[in-house]
Amino acid sequence: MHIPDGLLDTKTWVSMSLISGGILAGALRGLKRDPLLQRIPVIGMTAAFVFAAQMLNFPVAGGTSGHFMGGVFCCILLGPWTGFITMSLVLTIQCLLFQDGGLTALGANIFNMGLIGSVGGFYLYFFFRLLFWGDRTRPVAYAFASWTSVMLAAAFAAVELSISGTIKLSLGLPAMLGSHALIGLGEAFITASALAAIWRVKPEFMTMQKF
Amino acid sequence: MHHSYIDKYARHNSPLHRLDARTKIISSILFVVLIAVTPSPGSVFLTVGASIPLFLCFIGRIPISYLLIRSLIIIPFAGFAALSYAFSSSSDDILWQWGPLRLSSEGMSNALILLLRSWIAVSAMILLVNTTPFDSLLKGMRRLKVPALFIMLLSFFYRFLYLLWDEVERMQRARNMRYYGGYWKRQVGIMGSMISSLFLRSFQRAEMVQFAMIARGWNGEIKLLPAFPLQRRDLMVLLSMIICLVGLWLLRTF
Amino acid sequence: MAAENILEVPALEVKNFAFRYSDGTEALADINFSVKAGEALAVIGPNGAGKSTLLLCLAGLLHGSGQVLIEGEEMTTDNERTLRRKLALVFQDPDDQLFMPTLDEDVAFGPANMGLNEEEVQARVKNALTLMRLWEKRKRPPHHLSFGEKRRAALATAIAQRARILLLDEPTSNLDPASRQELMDYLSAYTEARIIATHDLELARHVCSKCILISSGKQIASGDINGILTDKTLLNQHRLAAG
Repeated sequence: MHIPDGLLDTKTWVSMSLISGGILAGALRGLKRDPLLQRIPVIGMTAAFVFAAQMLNFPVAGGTSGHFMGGVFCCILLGPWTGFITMSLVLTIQCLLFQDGGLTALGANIFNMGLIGSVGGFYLYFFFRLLFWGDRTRPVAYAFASWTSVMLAAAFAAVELSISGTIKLSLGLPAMLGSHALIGLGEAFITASALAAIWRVKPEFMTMQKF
Repeated sequence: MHHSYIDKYARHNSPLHRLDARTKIISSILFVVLIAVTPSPGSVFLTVGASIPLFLCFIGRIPISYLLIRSLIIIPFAGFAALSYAFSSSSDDILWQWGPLRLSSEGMSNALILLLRSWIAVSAMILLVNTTPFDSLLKGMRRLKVPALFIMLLSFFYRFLYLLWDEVERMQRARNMRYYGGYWKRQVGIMGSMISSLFLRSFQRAEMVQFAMIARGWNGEIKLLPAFPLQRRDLMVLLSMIICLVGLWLLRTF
Repeated sequence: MAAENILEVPALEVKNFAFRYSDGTEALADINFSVKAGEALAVIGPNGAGKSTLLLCLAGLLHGSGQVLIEGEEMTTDNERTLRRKLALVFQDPDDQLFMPTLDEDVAFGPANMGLNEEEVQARVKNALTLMRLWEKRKRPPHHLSFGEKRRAALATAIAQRARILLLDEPTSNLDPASRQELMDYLSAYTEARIIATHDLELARHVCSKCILISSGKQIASGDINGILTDKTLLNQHRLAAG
């Protein structure tokens, strides 16, 4: 759901860039104060892992670019704001090196996938933990949180496109949600299995150890 | 193993490659922004705009075919948006109709504008990364005041990306050697364990790299690169780029 | 001469050292040895003996019990940063060691962290890369180097630190015969103290004068290299010789 250049109008992309840029600057300032600043290699590695996991993706119907988003994964592993920085890294590299997502749309893409899809998904996880509170159903909560976060991010992208007057909401929303319902399944599966494996083998890697 | 298809031509040599990264970054950003903000661009504007990446492609000795293939990445999104544009116009000059689907000439031209706009911007970005090695790009961004911490994170990311790619390739090869097809449920299971083992391997790697950094005296501080001013040639190029863009902007309604 | 030898402080000394993983497994126990300035010591042992862990402990990256003394000074969590300046560590996998976007930045990383000025840093980078025949490739990113080049690059990053003690983890593994010979010659000519963890006994014989044998985390033998490497029964027992 990486929006390319030329699909958002000026008011939308400028305001999205300002919002995302401001939040990112704040998150970076927070990380600088973190005594765990030495985790820089770990953050870089998580971002690269999100990328590499996309390579293992299974094809989604109709040749859709079914990327693993990885937002909930990063946030549960590293904490919400470090997770947000990690996702911003992934999206920036995707924009710069792979031209996946446009330069003027980078702010909007960071907002959708980094903020709504990741930090939002992180808090959704708490909600789903209330429904699936057992120790063995933790992966189920991971899966639900990540599927919902993908859907939310897709919905936000559709809304931004309709605000820009590019695609009507009545057309864009069902199209985005329909295709991402499938992509979200892959997302849910990857997130749940990777987090469950870490929980089993190296729980000390997780920032979220209590819940 | 070399995965260089993303920035395949970045380390070649041409007048474009020799420019300072800052010149290229600023010009690309200005160009992309100009293309994105122009409200209803005319055909002259779009033609000139589209010929700029093609012309620079020639200067930078990058095959046009490479640029065209890489720029297909915009299709899923921009293609869908263009289709919805083409069929959603309310004007009367219907070119083709099938049930509720009405293709108007106004819709067609709107769709074309959208596609071209998107294509020009993506081409500019492809040119930028294929004429500038990633480390120069990072240094350029650093000198343009992007936060040092973000640059450092990006450089780690870039480094690990290639390591993990190799790792994924090795894992897939190992699986394919012993995998003889089978039930889809089993396949999904294999995928799950590959992902988790990839994760654990990469984390062990990150831990070792962290050790390697500390062993070489790292204390969490980020060293700033010495900044030097742009050379005259770069300033001249930047200035003429800006003049070109202003010229292009004046053409916007034509 | 004799008096001088007695007074001489070893470059690195380890006393009653032990290490446990966070899950409680004992990885190293009762390790004792010392290395004089300019001397080379081989740490030999089968796979999984704890050689790499020992090197990480010596560099102060993992913390165990007992004493590690660098030029007579005990390493503690307070002074490990300063003491580490006297040490350089070459990891077994060069991909762990090379993390900067280009080779020259990677080699500059250690010296720059020591607070040296830019000229001195650049001089060291040039010196180390020229020694390792990589000066021509200084602008390459690590993923554009062959394995042998990456190994030499990892060594260059350590050389540039001009450390008093060089710690090397399996420096000859995966190298082709010519590169291996080249590396062995370089290491024998090196003038500072060296500690080399390996199961390449030819490397140990070629470069080192002293040796300790570790197996399952325990120090089985220590002493003169020839004494240990000629003891066939001992080597067989610890999977360092076949047959």
